[in-house]
Amino acid sequence: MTTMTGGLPPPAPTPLFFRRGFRNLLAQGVYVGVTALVIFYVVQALGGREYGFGFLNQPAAFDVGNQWLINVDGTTNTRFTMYLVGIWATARVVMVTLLLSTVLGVAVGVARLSPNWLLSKMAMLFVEIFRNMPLFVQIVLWYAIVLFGLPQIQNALDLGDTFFLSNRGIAVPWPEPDGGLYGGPEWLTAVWAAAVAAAAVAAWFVRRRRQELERETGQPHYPNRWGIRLFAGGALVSFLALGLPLTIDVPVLSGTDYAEGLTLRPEFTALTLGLTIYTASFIAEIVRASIQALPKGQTEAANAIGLSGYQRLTLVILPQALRQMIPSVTNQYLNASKNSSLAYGVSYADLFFVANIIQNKIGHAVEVFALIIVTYMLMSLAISVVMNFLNSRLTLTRV
Amino acid sequence: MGNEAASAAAPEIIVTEGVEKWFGDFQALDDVTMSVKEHEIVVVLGPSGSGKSTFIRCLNRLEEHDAGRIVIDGIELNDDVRNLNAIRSEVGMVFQQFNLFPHLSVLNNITLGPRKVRRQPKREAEEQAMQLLERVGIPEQAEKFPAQLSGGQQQRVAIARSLAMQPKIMLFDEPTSALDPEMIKEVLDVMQELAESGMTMVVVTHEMGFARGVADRVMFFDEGALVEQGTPNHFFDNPREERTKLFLSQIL
Ligand SMILES: Nc1ncnc2c1ncn2[C@@H]1O[C@H](COP(=O)(O)OP(=O)(O)OP(=O)(O)O)[C@@H](O)[C@H]1O
Ligand SMILES: [Mg+2]
Repeated sequence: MTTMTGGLPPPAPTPLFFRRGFRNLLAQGVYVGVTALVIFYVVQALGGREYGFGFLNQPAAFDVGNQWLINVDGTTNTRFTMYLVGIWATARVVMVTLLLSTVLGVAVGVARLSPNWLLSKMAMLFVEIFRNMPLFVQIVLWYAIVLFGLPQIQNALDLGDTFFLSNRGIAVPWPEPDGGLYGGPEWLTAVWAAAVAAAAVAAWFVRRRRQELERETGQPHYPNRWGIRLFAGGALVSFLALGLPLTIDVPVLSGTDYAEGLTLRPEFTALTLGLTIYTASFIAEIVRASIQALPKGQTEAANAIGLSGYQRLTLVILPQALRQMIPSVTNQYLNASKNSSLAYGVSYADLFFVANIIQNKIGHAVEVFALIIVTYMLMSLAISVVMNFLNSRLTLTRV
Repeated sequence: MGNEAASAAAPEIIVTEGVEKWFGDFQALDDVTMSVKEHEIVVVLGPSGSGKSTFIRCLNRLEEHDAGRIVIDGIELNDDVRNLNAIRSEVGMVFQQFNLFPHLSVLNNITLGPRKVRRQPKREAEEQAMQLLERVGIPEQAEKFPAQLSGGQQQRVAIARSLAMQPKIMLFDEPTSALDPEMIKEVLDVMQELAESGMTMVVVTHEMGFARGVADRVMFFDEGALVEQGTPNHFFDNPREERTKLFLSQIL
């Protein structure tokens, strides 16, 4: 190098402070110093106390309302069991929210791009209203609407004796395990469930086998048709053979509450409604943006081969847009799942609410919050794993 | 009209009368009256922005004309949805940018229309698709995805996709303009074969060789108007209009 630049004067030395190596070292030094200080402070603050999770194994001595498909009584069960009840409460809100907000969000996002003026303006209004109001306000508002807007249970809105609406909640029919026609034991339902699963597995194998045959011989072997036939047939035959081991429980009014069926309590309803609509308004925007990002030629090509508007949407536009959407939608899913802790505002006994009861009764704030944090992190991890899997599966076909 | 004797007796399959198209205040098509006979090959020429694309996009109603009439094989192009459906299966279109569906394999790109619009059984649609791929010379690419093909191959798939709907008329909007020179010929060969098979074609192109060699008639557009038309020989060697002469002097 020096031989090449022989004519140049020697380079001026860079002052220490302006050297990149020194700068990096300095930044890292500051970082290590601050971290050490924080750790020192935390250890000081937490030191000298007994830690452990033993308290979780003692009887809970409190009850949790609003359970669903389970009935855990808090006087005999441990605190940890009640925490699991809280996790189940969070899980069902999150599952219902993710499902419904996706459906609603896609519908609203597509509606916004509709050539129908009224439809697109309504979709825009939906997005602008629910995206710009604090989520907590919305949840409390829904709660007030359900509590004060719906009639007392005595005058519950009765939709065909199958659905009931009142401020005690929304009652809907729900399948119940049943001994069946021959009066057998209730676990016949489980036997039937196993039979359905077996039929599904068999159908999957048959479908794959027929796909292979089709590829090898070039002759039609109708893999989808036979797979569906086998699954539906298996489910139906086993259902009949076991003597219909499942009944649909229709709710009835009994005194000041519902009996039978499934009741969506006001707390659950308000929280799920708030989360769903809020999340859907964001998903709608993501859907709209990813549809608009597609080249205009895709729509034109679909039109040119004569696809209908609905076919164009479901066969050409959405399959491509969904792929673009997955990373952003994953973010919305993660937000929604963590925002479920706003359950606290309507006293819905989710995991955070239950953990707080425990903490109020027995203390151990450090352990309880560690537990809460780890639980939410695991939930986020589960969602990310599923979405990453979906992403890799969907992008696989593109190559 | 200076048509060749061979097609003189054939019925007119495309008729337009006083067609106008406006984009806001801008008039993109100005009183276009023309007709195309069955099996005729028409090449549309003109400078950039002269309305060539707009015109042929009006012929399958990707654009809606604002005045005048367009009748394709007896079907009036208006806002009657039944006519729109009829026209889309009657007229195929090939785009400059191919516009293949990137999420579908080559085979599925071709069978999508026949299966979903014509309700053809899958097996039958795939057999037809393979024959078409054979015809455009790339049967071995059936299972690939568009992104794995060269531009020329993609455009040939796009042609096969249009043909799968068994159209009576094919529209081409600069089908070779996005291609590297060495791929242009393979697409033009397919188009020439199609022309020889008796397809009615309206082709916007800058390929003068194709216009001279394959076209029955050349139409020249300028500023949204159909300025001059005639047989290739007449058009290239004895243009009447000043604007045509100017255009030819710039490109030849
Ligand atoms: N959607 C649109 N909105 C507004 N103006 C348009 C639109 N489409 C086309 N135009 C205008 O109409 C005129 C004709 O456009 P067109 O695409 O038909 O030209 P063309 O002859 O195909 O040109 P090129 O050779 O560049 O493709 C141009 O001035 C163009 O800017
Ligand atoms: Mg053009």
